[in-house]
Amino acid sequence: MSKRSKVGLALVAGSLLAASCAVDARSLDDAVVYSAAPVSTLVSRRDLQFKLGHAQRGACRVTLLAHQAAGAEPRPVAMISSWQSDQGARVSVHRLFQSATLDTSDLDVAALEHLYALALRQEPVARFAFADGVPPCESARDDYSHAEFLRELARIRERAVARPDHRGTGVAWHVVSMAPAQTNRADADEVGIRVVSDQGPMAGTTIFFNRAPHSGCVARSGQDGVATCRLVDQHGDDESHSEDGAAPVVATFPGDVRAGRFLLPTTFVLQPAP
Amino acid sequence: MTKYARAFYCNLPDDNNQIVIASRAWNNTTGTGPSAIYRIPLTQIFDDVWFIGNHYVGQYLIKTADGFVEVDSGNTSGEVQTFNYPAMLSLGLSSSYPLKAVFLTHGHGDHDGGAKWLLDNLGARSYLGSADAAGKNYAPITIDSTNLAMRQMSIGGKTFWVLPTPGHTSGSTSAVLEVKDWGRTVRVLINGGQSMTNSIPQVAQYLDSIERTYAMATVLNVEGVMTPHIYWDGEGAKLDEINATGRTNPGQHVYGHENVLRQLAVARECSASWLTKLDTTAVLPVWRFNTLEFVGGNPTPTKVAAKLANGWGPLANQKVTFSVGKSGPACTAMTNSQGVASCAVHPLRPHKDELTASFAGSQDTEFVDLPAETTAQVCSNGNCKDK
Repeated sequence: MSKRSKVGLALVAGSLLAASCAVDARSLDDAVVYSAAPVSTLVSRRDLQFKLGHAQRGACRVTLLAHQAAGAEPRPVAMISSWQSDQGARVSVHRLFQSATLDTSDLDVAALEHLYALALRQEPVARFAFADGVPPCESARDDYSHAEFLRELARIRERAVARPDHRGTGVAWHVVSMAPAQTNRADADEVGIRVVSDQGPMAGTTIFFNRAPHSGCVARSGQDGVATCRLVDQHGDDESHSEDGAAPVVATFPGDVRAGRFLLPTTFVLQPAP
Repeated sequence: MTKYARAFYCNLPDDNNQIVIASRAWNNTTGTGPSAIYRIPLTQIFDDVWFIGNHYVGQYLIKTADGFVEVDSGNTSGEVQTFNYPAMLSLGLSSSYPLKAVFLTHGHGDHDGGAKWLLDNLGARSYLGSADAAGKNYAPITIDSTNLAMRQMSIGGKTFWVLPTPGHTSGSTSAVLEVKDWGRTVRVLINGGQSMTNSIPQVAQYLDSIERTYAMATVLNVEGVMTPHIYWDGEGAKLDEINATGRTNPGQHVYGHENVLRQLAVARECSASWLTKLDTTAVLPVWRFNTLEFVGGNPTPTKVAAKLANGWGPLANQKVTFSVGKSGPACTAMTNSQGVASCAVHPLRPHKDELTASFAGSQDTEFVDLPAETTAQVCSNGNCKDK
């Protein structure tokens, strides 16, 4: 299923430096092994072929999202770079083409949908930089939270769906928001989150909580949209991780896929009490 | 299965939390107190491999020509002093037969807690995935976690096929090595880290790691497993059995190649299931474990037919190749609605040739149909006992 291919980054004009990761996409031109992009219900046009290529440059992990037209080489449309900085995990996402320069709106929408699915698999506690079709140094904002970045992608996708030349079905995407809920502040293992959609608090929704390295719990939200539970160390060496209580907790809303309406999966990072 | 063998390859954080918590109570590191009953004495599992630990987690002592290599280092320095060090002495540890190296599956304390003591007191360096190495006080020799390719490494003079398998931790590393089972060389798998978190990127990594582990076990023809967390796959029951009635031939840890792959396929399905719970938009194909069986017993010169099937039923419209050896006569055929493929191979010599039927596997967006193969002797009438 995988295809070894030259990236052909001559297509990409200008500097493609990915913020602090300092990876020039042109340096990946040696050879990237492409394989099929993960399948997601978010992607409305699965007949459009997208591939993923990976490369490691020093401490920087680079993922290329590429569209592959029939009989053609993969054409990168986005680059995701991730690395650890002194301030923690960082992710830089660079859409290599602005929407208007892609061949069709359908292709643009599909690329954004794939990008959302890939962004969901990035480290939630990371800080995100996003350059949309412009060199990263011209990026208007480079300090998104994971949830903020996902929301930004959803917004751009909605704009692309609204383009007059868009022919795809374009299932409506709805963003879900989460915010900390009151819990027992004296107990760092007690966690809670309030889940709200555009129709108000979401009852009966499952929320997954995770605290590195391996504590977690799962809770269902009540009528007020609040889901709470107590973190459990799922491994046997909790005593060797005294820093656990100081680690952030990631709440994950897994999404809700229904005909004609997608509630988008997203995350929220609960920072530990000072 | 005994009370220790829960065989829950899934190890999912929701339903199985209570199982995990219960099994943690078996992690006795001192040999004292109520949980001391869960200690497992030094137990020989292969000609050259011994297990020591408890029903939660253990280590493997491997004897080589000129010293020991250990897989994982114990929970604590106290545990190593109380159990592992005396065990090695009883097996011949000396200045001329030292502990040469330790392979650490990952950097959690129940796996590397004794590494500092082994370095300070026996001079043994530990090998650890680079992504877990930050802040470690035992100067590990790092295995590059960013290079996900399988490769050979010499660890303490013993060949390990290592495969970085992030997911449980970023620096988890799995390995395959050769051991001796009643004189026969057998390849065994060491899982780099079991149990998943509630984090989408970590579970996605875990899933990818298991898929790559499956590929490694396939290409290296792995037949056995040595798991640090023996509650994970029922290995605790096998150790109890060895201590009660002795080693069998083949040994209890030799599951057979097909069973190892089945185990990994189950683990893969569990991981895929968990990922789709965390991200309901992920669409993951189901891995189906296929079997090929000759129809009507052994093949004959006039009847070459095999049935391809899995848990869903027969598999139609798939190509099956029949061949004598790698370069002997062969034919290919497509399976019918009953999953049966049939064709003619010439010549076939009864009681001399072995015929192999193989299915290379296939995949679409819904299913990954795993490769399958079977080999049987050619007979005159389908029953080789009746010449």
